[in-house]
Amino acid sequence: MNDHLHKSGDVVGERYEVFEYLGEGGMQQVFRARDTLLDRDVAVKVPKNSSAQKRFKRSAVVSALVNHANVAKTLDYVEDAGRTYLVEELISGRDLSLIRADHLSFFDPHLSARVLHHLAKGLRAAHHANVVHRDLKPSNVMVVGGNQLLDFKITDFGIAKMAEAVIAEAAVDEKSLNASLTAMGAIPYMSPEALKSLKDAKLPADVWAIGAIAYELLTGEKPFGAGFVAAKNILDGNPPPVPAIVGYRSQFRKLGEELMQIILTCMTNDPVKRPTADQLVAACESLCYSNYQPEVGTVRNFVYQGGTCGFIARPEKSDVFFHQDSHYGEGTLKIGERVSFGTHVGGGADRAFPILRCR
Amino acid sequence: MPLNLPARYKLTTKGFGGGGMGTTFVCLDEHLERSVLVKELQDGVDQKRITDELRALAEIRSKHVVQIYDVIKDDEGNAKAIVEELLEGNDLVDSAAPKDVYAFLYVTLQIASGIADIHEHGRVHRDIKPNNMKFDSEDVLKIFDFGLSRLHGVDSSTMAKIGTPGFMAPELFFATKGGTVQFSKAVDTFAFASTAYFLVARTIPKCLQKFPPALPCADADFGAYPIKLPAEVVGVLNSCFSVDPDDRPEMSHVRDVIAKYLLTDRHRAQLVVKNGLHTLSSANRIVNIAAGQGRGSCRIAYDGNSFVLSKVAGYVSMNNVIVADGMMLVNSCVLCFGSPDLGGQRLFIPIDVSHPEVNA
Repeated sequence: MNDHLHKSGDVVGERYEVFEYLGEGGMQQVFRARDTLLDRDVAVKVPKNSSAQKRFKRSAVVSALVNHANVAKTLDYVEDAGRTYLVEELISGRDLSLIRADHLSFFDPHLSARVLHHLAKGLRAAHHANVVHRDLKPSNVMVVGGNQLLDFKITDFGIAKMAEAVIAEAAVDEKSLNASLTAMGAIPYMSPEALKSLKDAKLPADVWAIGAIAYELLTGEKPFGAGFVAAKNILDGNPPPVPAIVGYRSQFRKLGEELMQIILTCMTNDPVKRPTADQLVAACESLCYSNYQPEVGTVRNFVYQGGTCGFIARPEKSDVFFHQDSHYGEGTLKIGERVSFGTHVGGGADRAFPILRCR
Repeated sequence: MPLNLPARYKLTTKGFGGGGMGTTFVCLDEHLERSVLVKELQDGVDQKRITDELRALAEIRSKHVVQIYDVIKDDEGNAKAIVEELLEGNDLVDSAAPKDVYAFLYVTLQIASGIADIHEHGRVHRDIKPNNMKFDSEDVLKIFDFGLSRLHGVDSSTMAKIGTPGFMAPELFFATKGGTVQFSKAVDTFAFASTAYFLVARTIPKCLQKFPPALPCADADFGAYPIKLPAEVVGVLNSCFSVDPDDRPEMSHVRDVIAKYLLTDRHRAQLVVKNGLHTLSSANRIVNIAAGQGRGSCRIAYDGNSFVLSKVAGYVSMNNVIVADGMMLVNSCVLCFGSPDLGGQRLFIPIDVSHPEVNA
């Protein structure tokens, strides 16, 4: 048995016909539904319990203040049979934490730069509307196209409003507050001021979180570790280390270092000294990166030069030539390994760059 | 007001009367506590057509096309009004003119991208003009007011209703046998060029305002534009004014040409030479590479838009293609010096070319 709040065929607000259950977060379930008025698919979010429901309208109103291509669009809010519903743009894809869990442990500097740039633009729009997210983490970033990594959108602006209510009820003592936060998976991305008092987290806390997300994307590691260890490290105020992977191969070093520099300024201890979202976007605009669309393939064989270059097999397409130096990551690629890569025109075979090892 | 507003929408201000569409109102949507634009549709417009168009509009996923939220219907189920995203800013008529080439390209890139997105969805806007586009609060240009009701049964006597003089392509003035005017996406391309012309000139050439436009004419020439544009941009914009719709370029091509010149002098090429890094950019435009040991040599020069190979001597290949003078670097490549029989004795230089992301 499942405890889904709706089943296929349910109609909400005389307009939205539920198709399927998509998933859930700490506070809400998400369904794919058909907007029968405009004949388009949408995402319908329903709060799971009464304490979340109480703040749901407020949370919907807040999220509707943000209107940007890198933020999931708020389309409608309806009440029906005692329940409340937020209708959002449907993003066909998966969230960033799932991509990292089963597809790519980390992204190369080009891809990471694109993600940071796009998230920063979404954040800038929110901050211009004076909306703080307060709960930015990889599971709140939707990746359009899933493993194709077409585009990146922030979701759940306004969820902090609900979270506040839920936490306020749960947090009779500090221990259970920490437990709720840990359960929400937010700690590794929280700024020192947010850890001290979530209510006091203002715009710079989001900039910190975006920096922490980008750090993890670029290196595969959380900047301050996971769980309670992270909380201690963040509060101690020591800057995170720069993992060797960033400068590991020459072709990625320059962009990797430029990007890491921006990321580290986002995680400056003093909130006042962090870049604003405007400044963060400007910094990203100065970066030179390749806007490639990744494909997935398998290392087939090696030719020439003792295994430093070879070919990657693609499903239903011709093989792609690759060089080990185009691989962002530790060690060398082996035959049979699955890889994600960009493709560039070449004679005889196209050429792969950059290359990432799949999980 | 004949329109029956659902309870959630509270009228705040009465807007302007708008062209082929009916009256426009600003309302507060009490569900999401945000202001929205309500556009009343004209009576007598075929409902099926409106429904088709609305669905198409709802399907278009473009950051340069206005978002539709709701449709207001009467008791018989006929669509009476559409509810859409309210753009608070000025339209392109009331916005300041772009002051230099970069600003001009930045705005026209957004217009061209939006129209290309619409065409990619198989749709025609039908009324592209500066009044029908605005910047949102994030300075992203958005196109609105699709010519929903301007589809059918138009003859020369009602010509004024199908578009705006100065922005109407020549073929719109010649009805086919059935008495109707054919709308192809090329009418948007023509109107795009008029819009681009207006941006800095702040006027439309007189020859375009004639019925039909008198083309070719000396005034409708981006070569004589108040700001000096790159020759390739002039060429592609002028071709949008072609009398024959088939001679007008795809908007995706127009978009790509404009994007190319927005990046002038902003590219970077990185060469990995024996694990060291060499960077070419506007600050350091030329490198000469000599592999030695008779393997070959060449020059790479950055001309502001491309990295061009020249002075090629010996056996030099790029991604396995023999290099000749005048070839350009592909975005990611390996230059190889020395003939294939040298095997691992050849010199390999991986190069990647990148640039900032310039779209809004």
